[in-house]
Amino acid sequence: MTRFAVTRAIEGLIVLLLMSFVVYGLIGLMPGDPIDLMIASNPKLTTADGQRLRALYGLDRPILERYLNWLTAAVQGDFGYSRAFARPVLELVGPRLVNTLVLLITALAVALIVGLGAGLYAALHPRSWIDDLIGYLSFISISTPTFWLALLLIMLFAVVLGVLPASGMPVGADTGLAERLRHLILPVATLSLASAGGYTRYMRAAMIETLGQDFIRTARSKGASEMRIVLRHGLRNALIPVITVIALDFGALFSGALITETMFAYPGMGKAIYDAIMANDFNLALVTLLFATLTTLAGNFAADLGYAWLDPRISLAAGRAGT
Amino acid sequence: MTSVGMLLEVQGLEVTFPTTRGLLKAVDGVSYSIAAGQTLGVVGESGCGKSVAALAILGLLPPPGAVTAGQVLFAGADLVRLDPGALRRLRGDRLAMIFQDPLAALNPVVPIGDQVGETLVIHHQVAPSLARKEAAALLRRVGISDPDRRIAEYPHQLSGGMRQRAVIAMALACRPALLFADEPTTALDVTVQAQILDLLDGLRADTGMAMQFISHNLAVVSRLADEVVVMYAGRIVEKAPTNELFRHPAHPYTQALIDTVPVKGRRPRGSPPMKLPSIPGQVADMRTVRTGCGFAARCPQAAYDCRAAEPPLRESGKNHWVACFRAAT
Amino acid sequence: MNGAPLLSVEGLVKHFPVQRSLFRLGRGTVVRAVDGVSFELRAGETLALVGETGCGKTTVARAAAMLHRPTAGRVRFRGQDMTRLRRRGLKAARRHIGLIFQDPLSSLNPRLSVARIIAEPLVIHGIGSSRDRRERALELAAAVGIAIGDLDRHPHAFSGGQCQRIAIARALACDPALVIADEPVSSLDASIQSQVLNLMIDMKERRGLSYLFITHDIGVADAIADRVAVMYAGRIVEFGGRDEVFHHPVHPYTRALLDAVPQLGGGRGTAVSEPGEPPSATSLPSGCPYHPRCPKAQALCKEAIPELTSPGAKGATLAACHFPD
Repeated sequence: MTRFAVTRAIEGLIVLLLMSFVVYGLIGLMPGDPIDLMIASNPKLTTADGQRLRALYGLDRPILERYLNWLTAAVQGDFGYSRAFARPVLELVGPRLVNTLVLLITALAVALIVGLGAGLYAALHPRSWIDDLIGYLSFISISTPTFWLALLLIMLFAVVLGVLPASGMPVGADTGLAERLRHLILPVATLSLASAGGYTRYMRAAMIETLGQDFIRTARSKGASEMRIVLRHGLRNALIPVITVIALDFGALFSGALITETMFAYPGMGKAIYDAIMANDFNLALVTLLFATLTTLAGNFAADLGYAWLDPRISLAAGRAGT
Repeated sequence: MTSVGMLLEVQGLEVTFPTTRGLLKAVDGVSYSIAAGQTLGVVGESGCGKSVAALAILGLLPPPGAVTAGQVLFAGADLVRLDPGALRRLRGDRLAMIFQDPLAALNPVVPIGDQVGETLVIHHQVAPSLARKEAAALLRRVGISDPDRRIAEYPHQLSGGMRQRAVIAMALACRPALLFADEPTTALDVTVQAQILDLLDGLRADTGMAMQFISHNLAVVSRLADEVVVMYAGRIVEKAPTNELFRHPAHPYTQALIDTVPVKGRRPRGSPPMKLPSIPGQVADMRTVRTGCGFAARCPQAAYDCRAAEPPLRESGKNHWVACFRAAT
Repeated sequence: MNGAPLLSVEGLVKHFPVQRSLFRLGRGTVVRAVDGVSFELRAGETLALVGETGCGKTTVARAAAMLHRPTAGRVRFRGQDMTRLRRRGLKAARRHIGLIFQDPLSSLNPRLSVARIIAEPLVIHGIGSSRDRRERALELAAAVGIAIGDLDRHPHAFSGGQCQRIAIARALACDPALVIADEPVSSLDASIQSQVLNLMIDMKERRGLSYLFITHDIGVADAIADRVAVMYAGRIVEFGGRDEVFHHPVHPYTRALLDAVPQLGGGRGTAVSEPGEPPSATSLPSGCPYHPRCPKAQALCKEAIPELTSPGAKGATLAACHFPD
C-alpha cells in the first residue's frame, strides 16, 4: 500500500513536471506578452521602454531558459507574483482552490447519490415505467450542455422565482454558512445533474450484468433473500466497473466545474484560470492549471484506492492497479 | 401415485420458454424419483433439458422460463406450487445445488469463509463470526488444508480443485437432504475430477443425503449413480439401474452414446487409428416443433410409427424403462 | 523412419512475463509455460500432445505454428528453421500448416460467409482467381460434409459440430502437410465428437496429412494417435507409441492420469484419484515438477530435473523420471 502510494506520487510528479513544461510553452506561444499590454494601456511608454522592461523581467531570454528559471524558483516554493492581482500567486490560489473543491466534491456526492440510486432502482425493476422514466431523464441529463443547463436554472430559480442567487458568492470568512450554502445550490445542481445521468446508465447496466452472473444464481440456490442478493452479492461487484467510469468522468467533471464557476461568477479556480489567461497573467495561469492537473490526478488516485477496496483481485502491493 | 420412501418425486414436469418463434418446451413431461441416500445420474447432451429440469425444481429458472405442468413432491409439499418464500427457505437448507464452473459460481469479492458459512446465517440465524468458524470446519471436511487461513482468502487465490471443494462445502453447510450437482467436474482436470467424484460419493455415504448428478459424461455418471436417466430433446428416453443400463442399453440413443463416446480402449491395441462408430445428424434443435420420437431423425432403427407418435416410457425389464417402439420388452 | 521428420521441436522454451506497472517492468514474475520441450513429428503420423490445464500443450502447439515466438529453442518444419524466419518467409512456410482451434464458433469470423471463410487462406496466400477459390471452397465443403446450399450462410447459423467441419475445411484449403489441432472436439457433444474425429481420420488418410493433435481427453487421444507425448508442468514426461504409453505407462504421472479416467459402466470407486493438483507455472517446485504428488518420489526427485530418456529395454518409450516403472 505504501509502495503503491509512493509509486503513484512519483508518477504524479512526473506528470506535473511534463504539464508545467507544456503549459509554460503554450503560454509562451500565445500572441503578445505582458509588456505589450502595458504599452497598450500606458501611452507614455515607448518601444525602448518596452525593450528595457522585457530585459528586466527576463522576457528577452529564450523560452527554455525562462522555464528553467521558473522551475528552479518553483521548486523552492516561489511561484511568483500575480501581475493582475499584485499578490503572491499561492496566496491568491489557496482560497479559490478550496471553493472549487467544495463545489466539486459536493457535486460529485450529489451526482453519485442520485445517479447510483436511480441506476440501482432501474436495474432492480427493469422494463417498469419507472425504469423507462429514469432512462429518459438520464438521456436528457447526458445530452444537455452544462452552460445551457446553468442558464436554464438561473432563469427559473433566480429570475422567475427569485428564490436563489444567480451569482455573487461572497469571498471571505465573515459570511455565514447558510449564505454560502444558498450560493452553492445552483452551481452544484448544474454540475451534478450533468453527471448523474451517465452514472445512472452505467450503474443500471453494471447491476443488470452482475445479476446475470453465476454467483448470483449460487446465492439464490442458497436461499438468500433478494435484499441480500442485491446488497451483499450484487452491489460491490457492480460498482467495480462504475468506478472506472467515475474516474474517467472526473476530468470532465472538473472542466464542467470551471464552466459552471464562470457561469455563476463563483470565486473558484475556473474563474481564476479564465481571468489569468485573459489578463495574460503568466504565473497565475501556470499555477492554476497545475492545480487543475493535480486535482485530476488526485481523483484518479482515489479511484484506484476505490478499486482496491472493492475488488480483492486487485493488489496495490504488486502495483498492478490501474485505470 | 406417491410411492413409499421416495425423497423427491417429479411427475410430468414441463418447462416452457416463450420465444419469438413460439413456445419452446425445454423439459417435456419428465417423471422420476429419488430415494433418500440414493444417487440418480441424469445424462444427456447440451440442450436436452437436464439442467433446466433441476433449476425448475429449485425455482431457479431464468426468466422467462416457467413450469407449465407437473408437480415436484418433496417432504410432503409440491415445490411447483409452494409460495416463493417457502421454497426459498428450503433452498440451501434442505435442497442444495452445485454448478459447473466453480470460479464463476463463487462471488469474487466475498471471502471464502463468508460464502461457505452463508447458508447458516440465512437459515439458522448463526452469527457471521460463528458461521466463519463453522466454515473452517466444513473446508477441512472437504479436504482443504489450512482452512483457518483459507476462510479469509478470495476465490481467485484458490486452485480449480479447491474452489470446487469450497463450493461443495458451501452446499453441505446445512446438511441438505438432496444435492443437485450440475456437471460439477466438467470444468476440472481429470486427476482433480477423480478426487471430486470420490469426495462427493464419500460425503453422500457419510451424511446419507441423496444426490441428483447431472452430466454429459456417461463414464463419470456411471462412477457415482445408482440409477441413470438418459434424456434427449426434453424427454426421458431411458431409465435403469446403472449396471443394467450399461449392460443392456435398450434405447437406440443410449446404445449409440455408449458405442460412440471416445473412451480409452475402444480401439484395439496395435491397430492404426480407425473410424469410430458414430450417430449421424445434429443434436436435436428444441426450437422446431416435432411430432413423434425426438431421436427418430438420427435413429438407424426409426420407422414410420416413430415419426407419427411419441413413444411412451414403458417398463422393458425390472426397473428398466424405455421410450422406444423398437426396443425389446 | 523414412528420412527427416516433418516437424521437429528442439529445446522449446516459452516464458511469459507478468506485466507490472506502466512505467517500469521491474523484476516481474515469469510464467514458465513451456520449459524445454523436444519432439519430432514424422510425415503421415498423428502425434497427440496430452496433458491437463496449464501443462503447456497449447503453448507448444502455438509455438510450433510460430503464433508465439519461442523464448528459446528451435522449430524446424520441413527442414527449415522457423524461428529464424521473418514475416515473408514465415508466411510462406505457414501456408503448409493448417490450424484448428477449440471453440468452433469464435474461431470463425461471424461476418463472413462460409464459402469466404473456407477460401480465406487462399486469399491470404494469393492462390488462384476468385472463381478458383469459390470452386475450391465448394470442393472442400463437400469433403467435410457441409451442404453446398449452406455456403452463403454465416457461422451462427451452424451447430458446433458443423462449425468445426467448416474450420477443418479452412485448415485444409492450402493443402497443408501438417495440421495443428488444439482440442478440436472438446467443446462438442458426445455424439458429435466421434463424427468430427472420423472426419479428421478420413481427411488424413485421403490427403496424406500429419496431425499435431492437442487434447486433455485420454479417450480422444487413444482413438486418433499414432504416438503420444504426455506433458506435465511445461515438460514432456513420457513419449512413445500409443500402445506403449496408454497400455504400459512408465512415468508415475501417466499412470495416475490414466487411472483417473472414469470408465464407461465402471461403477463406484473404479477411477483412482491421486492427491494434489498440477503446480502453478509461476512457481514450479524444484527438481521433478511431479515430485510433490508422486508416490515414488525420493530425495533425488526434489533436487534434479529428470531428462527425457529411454528407461532401459522397454522399447521406444521415453520417460522423464528418475525411477520409472
